[in-house]
Amino acid sequence: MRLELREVVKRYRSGTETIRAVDRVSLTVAPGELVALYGPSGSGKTTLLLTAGAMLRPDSGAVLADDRVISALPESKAAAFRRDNIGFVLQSFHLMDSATIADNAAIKLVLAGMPPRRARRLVRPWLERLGLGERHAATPARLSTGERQRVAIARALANDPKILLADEPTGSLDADRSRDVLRLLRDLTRERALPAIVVTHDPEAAEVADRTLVLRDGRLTDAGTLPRPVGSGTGP
Amino acid sequence: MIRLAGLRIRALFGFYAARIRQHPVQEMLAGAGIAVGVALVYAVMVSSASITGSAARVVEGVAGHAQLQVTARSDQGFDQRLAAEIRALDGVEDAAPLLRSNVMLVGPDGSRSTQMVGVSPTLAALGGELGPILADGDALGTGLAVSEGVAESLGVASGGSVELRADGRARMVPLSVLSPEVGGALAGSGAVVTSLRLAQRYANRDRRVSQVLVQTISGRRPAVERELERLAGGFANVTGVDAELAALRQATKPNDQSTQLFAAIGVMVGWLISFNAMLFTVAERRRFVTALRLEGASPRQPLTILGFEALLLGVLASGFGLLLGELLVRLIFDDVPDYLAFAFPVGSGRDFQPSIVVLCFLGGVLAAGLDAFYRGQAESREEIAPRTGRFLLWTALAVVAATTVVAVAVPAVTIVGGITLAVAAMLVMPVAFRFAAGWLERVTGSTSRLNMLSVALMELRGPTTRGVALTAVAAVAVYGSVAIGGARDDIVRGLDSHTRQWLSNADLWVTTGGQDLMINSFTAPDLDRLRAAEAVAAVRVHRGGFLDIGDRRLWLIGRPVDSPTMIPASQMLDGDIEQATARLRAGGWATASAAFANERGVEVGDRLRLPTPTGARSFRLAATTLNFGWIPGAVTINNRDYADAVGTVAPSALEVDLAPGTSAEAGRQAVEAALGPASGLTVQTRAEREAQYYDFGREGIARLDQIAALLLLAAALAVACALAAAAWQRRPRLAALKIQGATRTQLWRAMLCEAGVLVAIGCTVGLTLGVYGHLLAGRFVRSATGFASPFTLQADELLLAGGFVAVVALAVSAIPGWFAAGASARASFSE
Repeated sequence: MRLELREVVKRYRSGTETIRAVDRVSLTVAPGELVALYGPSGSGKTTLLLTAGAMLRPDSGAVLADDRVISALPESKAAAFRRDNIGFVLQSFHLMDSATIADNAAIKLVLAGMPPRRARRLVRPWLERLGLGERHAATPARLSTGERQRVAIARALANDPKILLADEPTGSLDADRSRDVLRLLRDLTRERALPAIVVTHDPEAAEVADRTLVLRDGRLTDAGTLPRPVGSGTGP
Repeated sequence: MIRLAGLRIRALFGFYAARIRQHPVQEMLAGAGIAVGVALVYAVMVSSASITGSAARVVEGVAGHAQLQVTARSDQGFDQRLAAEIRALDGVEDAAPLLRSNVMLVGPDGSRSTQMVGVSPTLAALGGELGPILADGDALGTGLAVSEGVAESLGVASGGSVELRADGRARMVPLSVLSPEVGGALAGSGAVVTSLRLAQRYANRDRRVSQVLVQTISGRRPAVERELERLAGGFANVTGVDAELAALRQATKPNDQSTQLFAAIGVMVGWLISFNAMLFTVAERRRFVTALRLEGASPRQPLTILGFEALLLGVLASGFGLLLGELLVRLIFDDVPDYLAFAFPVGSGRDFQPSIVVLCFLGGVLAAGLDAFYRGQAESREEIAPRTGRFLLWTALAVVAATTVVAVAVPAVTIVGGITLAVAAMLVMPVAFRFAAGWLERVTGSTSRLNMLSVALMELRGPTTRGVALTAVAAVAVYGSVAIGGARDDIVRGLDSHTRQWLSNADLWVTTGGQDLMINSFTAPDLDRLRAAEAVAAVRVHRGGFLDIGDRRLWLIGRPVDSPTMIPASQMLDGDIEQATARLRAGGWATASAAFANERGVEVGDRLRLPTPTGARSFRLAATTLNFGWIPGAVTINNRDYADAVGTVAPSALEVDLAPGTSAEAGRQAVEAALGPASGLTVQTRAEREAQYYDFGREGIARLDQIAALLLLAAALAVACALAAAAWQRRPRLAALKIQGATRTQLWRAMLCEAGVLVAIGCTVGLTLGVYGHLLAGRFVRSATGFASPFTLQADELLLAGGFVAVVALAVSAIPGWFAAGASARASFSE
């Protein structure tokens, strides 16, 4: 699947002021391509990610998945699209404290209507691949931060997504763990031919990404200021 | 400048103001929990104290410096010349006679049974607050003087006339209203006052009085008491002036205990509500403490801040709770129970006791302190380990076992058992949680139809302190409602059953019409004329009255020898009913309430000695019984023995059998016609009398109903608030689930399922322990009150208690839950 943003604009009102969080951004992410998106705080990275994932509707422009406009879907259809096609990895994990790791990973499948027992069986291979197979019955409280992030990745991948979006996936991890997670994301992206956008502050991401972009004041620019940029992100 | 742990008071206030700004809902919920507990305890304590307190004020206000009294043993009173003889006794400073008589007042807007008090001018000499006023002819007017409330309920203004029914006659009498300033405590009571002369005329007790108050010269009381005993000659009682208060306390004790137990459970629910609210901010408070320590705060400073905040919360919430309690007292608990008013001088006046205010206030502050202590100790979202859960379960079982043993061995302490069982309900919760979640998971694991329940169960698998505290609110409230409500229903059923049997003796009842135990005697109408009425098959004379023995105001019943039923079968305890009936008819035999018989050390066949108006008389005990719905107890003899013992042939009720084929209504008209238009008697069909008795029986325990309803409502709203707050706090995680593809409706349904499971666990535990509590409470009630109250489980009542909490909690929390489920996806990025 190819992910495409066309002239996307998203505005916010702050008091009497209107802020353009995303300003005429156009971006195409090819299947198997991992894009690292950098930018200072408040630059609009999260808004861009939410818009790309059909969580926010743009004020103008469009988001397309394989030429299908997903940015105009009504809420219930957008939710179904996310559930079936998008894997989100969040910095804060947002795992359910009392649920097991298997339950956390299987939540999307259960939301999609799969019986819980079957959903748990289906996510086992993912947990094993992520090194959590032995601990599938543990609760998140017993895991390290890195392990929790891997549970969040397992949850994102459980529905076999066609698009991968990640918000600061290494924000809570040490350098070694960060590298592991980023490489895992790159491998998965390539292996499953997923278009992926990773919002990050981590310079390591630039090493694994196919393209590196920077968002400033809602606009995409090239990555010239990054430490060791890889790829040739030029925007649309 | 005052500093605590080096912190200025102003800074401490500032910290608390910041906290309220940050967490207004949680703080409000915490305060509301404490306020609910304080309000319930305050209202119950004040209203209980007010019944005896108002009676004490009336007694003290009338009796003044009198220390002794001579009281008649029946409503026939004794010769008023005795008052003059008493006044002439050596050592007597002064003496004042009174005539007290139960009457009925009928006005355009309603009728009222009340006690008429006739006072003489000599009352003023006793120095009581009310004496000079009551003895003042101008204040009393030329008829009856009543309180403003009574006049209002009758619909008669001062200077108007009211129909007075006394001694079976009706007459119109002028009415004046005592202003609160003039009437003092008496103005708040339902009693009506008139001059002794008028009271004697109205009650048809010419030259009779029922009480003489005696003030002795200092140091002469023992000698005077002996002289009074001699003068009373065994036909009147000589006691201290406060003897009636002791009898009132004896009559209200079981009800007070039940009400206090309910209030104690109310306190637990209130504290749990507050505790719940505190748990929402445990993590944030711990971060706050850590941050303060990192900034260089001493170890005492964070504790001082938390303690100060608890103190402020406790003070504010307790103050609010006292106001709420006062509101409850004024709006809901302000009724004077008629079931006491015809027997004791109770009023509706308030009895302000500073000790109650201080106790409730300190209790509220202490509860806030306990919450704060916990807040510094634990992590609310931490799972309670299975091992801890098992330990708590065993502790709960031990508590239940110990409660059972103690309640069986010493029934009087069952009231404490009511509280320990509530504690057990809380201890059981973690294991109940695991069990319920595990079971539901097995049920829902293989199906896709209950997916939102499955999602809810994922959140619930491990019991957390917060989850347990939340369910405990529902559990304790339902437990209290089922346990006490069940015992209350047993009493009602027992009383109803007794009433049906008791009144099935006749088709029509002719009485003075009041809502009482048929203890008001009246001059018999022309019975021959009544019997001659075409519709009437038989007329029997029932007699009854009170007899004070020790602290008991016993109900003395004189059953007609020709009655088909001498003793209702539902009241029989020890003895054979056939034999006892035959013996009662034969005369010389009595049945007595078991508690009274035990107190006197009398068994079936033994001689029971009663101090009657005609002197001490002995009856052989034919059987022991329950107490016929009158807590102090009852003694039954036949109506001839009654007439001999009390010295009057006046009936207190007529039982009328109708000729075959006569309808109750036609019979009533025939009897009313036979009694004549001047009669002050009321003719009621069996159904009407039954309905009146049902109301009467329920009135005594109405307070329990009121508290049960308030408790359930408070618990349901508290659970709803806690659920709503939990949903609101969880918005970032809900937003994250939305990002994963959950719809708003799915999230909302999952939250409803979670709330439903939580409430269901709480209600189930509450219902289970509530049924057991009902069993123990019922046993206690039977032993304390002597009521016939067989244990009965009523599924609809159980479902009502549990269902009410569940439905209200779910319905109220569903609305904020819907808004929480609509959380913006951005919220998941905010942590």
